Amino acid sequence: MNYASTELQPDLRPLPSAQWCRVTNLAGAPAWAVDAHRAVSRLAELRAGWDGDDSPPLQEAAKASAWRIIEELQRYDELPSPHVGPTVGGGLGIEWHYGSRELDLEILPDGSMEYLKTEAPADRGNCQMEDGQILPGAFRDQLRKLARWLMIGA
Amino acid sequence: MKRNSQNPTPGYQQIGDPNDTQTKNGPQTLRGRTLGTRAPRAAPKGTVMNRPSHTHPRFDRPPVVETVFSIEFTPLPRWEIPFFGLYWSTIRERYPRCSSQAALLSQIENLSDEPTPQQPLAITLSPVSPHVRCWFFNEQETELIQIQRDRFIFNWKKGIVDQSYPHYERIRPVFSREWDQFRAFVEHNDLGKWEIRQCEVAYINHIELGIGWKDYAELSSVLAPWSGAASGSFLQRPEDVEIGARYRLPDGRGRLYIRTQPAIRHTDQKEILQLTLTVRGRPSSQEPASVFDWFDFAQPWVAQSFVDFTTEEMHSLWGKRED
Repeated sequence: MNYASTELQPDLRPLPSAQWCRVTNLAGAPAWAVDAHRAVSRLAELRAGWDGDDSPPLQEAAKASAWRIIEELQRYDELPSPHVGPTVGGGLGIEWHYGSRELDLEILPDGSMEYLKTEAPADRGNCQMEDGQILPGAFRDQLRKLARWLMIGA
Repeated sequence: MKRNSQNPTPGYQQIGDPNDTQTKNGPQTLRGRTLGTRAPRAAPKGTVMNRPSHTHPRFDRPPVVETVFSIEFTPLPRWEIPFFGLYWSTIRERYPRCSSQAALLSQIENLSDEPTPQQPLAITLSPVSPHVRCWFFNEQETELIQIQRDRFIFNWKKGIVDQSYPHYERIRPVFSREWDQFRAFVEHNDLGKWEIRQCEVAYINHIELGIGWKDYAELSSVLAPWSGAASGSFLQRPEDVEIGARYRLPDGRGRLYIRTQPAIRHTDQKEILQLTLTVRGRPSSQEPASVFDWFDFAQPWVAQSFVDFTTEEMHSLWGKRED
């Protein structure tokens, strides 16, 4: 695995096409992204009350944000497959584990996003944690930094 | 778009008529006119397709979401960036929205049996950026004109409100009108000599996962050539499948590409199988009518190939009928 490549990742957008309808070709996407897309699609089929209580189903805004995250991070082939799960209220969480690091992205029902970075130190001391919001205006930059942190810790 | 009741199915009813001895044995006719008198070609390598049936299959709920009609020509010698805006001013009433895109690469078909000579590497330094393509589209986002220095493209796309497919006979007059207007613009502005190099028609279909099939182990319910069978029991269910096929059209008039890809549609993030059928070829002459003769020839190939490539089970779901 070449960690340095995450720094110099080329823009791997497909060649321009005359097609107007935009699609993401799953055959050209990394396996983790295909898994994640399909996991989100399955969550979108949950009905109201899926939690045994009165939670609404996955909200469209949350689903669209999840899709944007996966789409944006698709350039990182080396990411592991994330765990994708529903949250009460109509949101969802996407969680990656990579060595001693863990990245949790929580997507709220209105589509807004928060992150939590957790790193377990080698000496089994206290975990280092950092959380924050992913701001719409800095979406791409923040996500790329978070992916880089997950893979190389910097 | 207005319905053109005068010309419901331009030309192509005559193609492939089994009783038409000219079609089988002599020069091909479209709308009663003779196309070319060149010497018979040697049979090309590979399989040449049959001619499409003269019956015209239609679907009440076809999965087509977009059609693309493209005309590629030699780069306009005097085309510069300001002409994008000048051209837009002539169509802005119908196409008030715009967007800039990267230019498309040229992909000219070699339909001869000779190997394509290797092109020497060339770097062109030009004051005209060859990398710009402009989109001009209507408010409903159902019609798009794409312009670049060597390309005119007309797209129809399924709308959010109007989701019905208007069929070729309704798209054709709009495409023809816009192409005529673009040609007039080029001539009026004296943009230099140009020559049509290739035409292309593509139909893009979105076959939603979960409607008639639930995963790629059931792909044989969707695509007629795919059996999904294996010689042994080692291979299990495929996660997804991508297929590409190409066919020569008769008389060296073009090549058909069929491609399926698993994809996520951006508008609703649904998983689909995108089935694209594309025909590329060169019109028989530089005469303006030849361009549309070629499209009238190519479009039924796309339509009939779609029917052949998909299963009768799916045809039923899409409401197939014979007109």
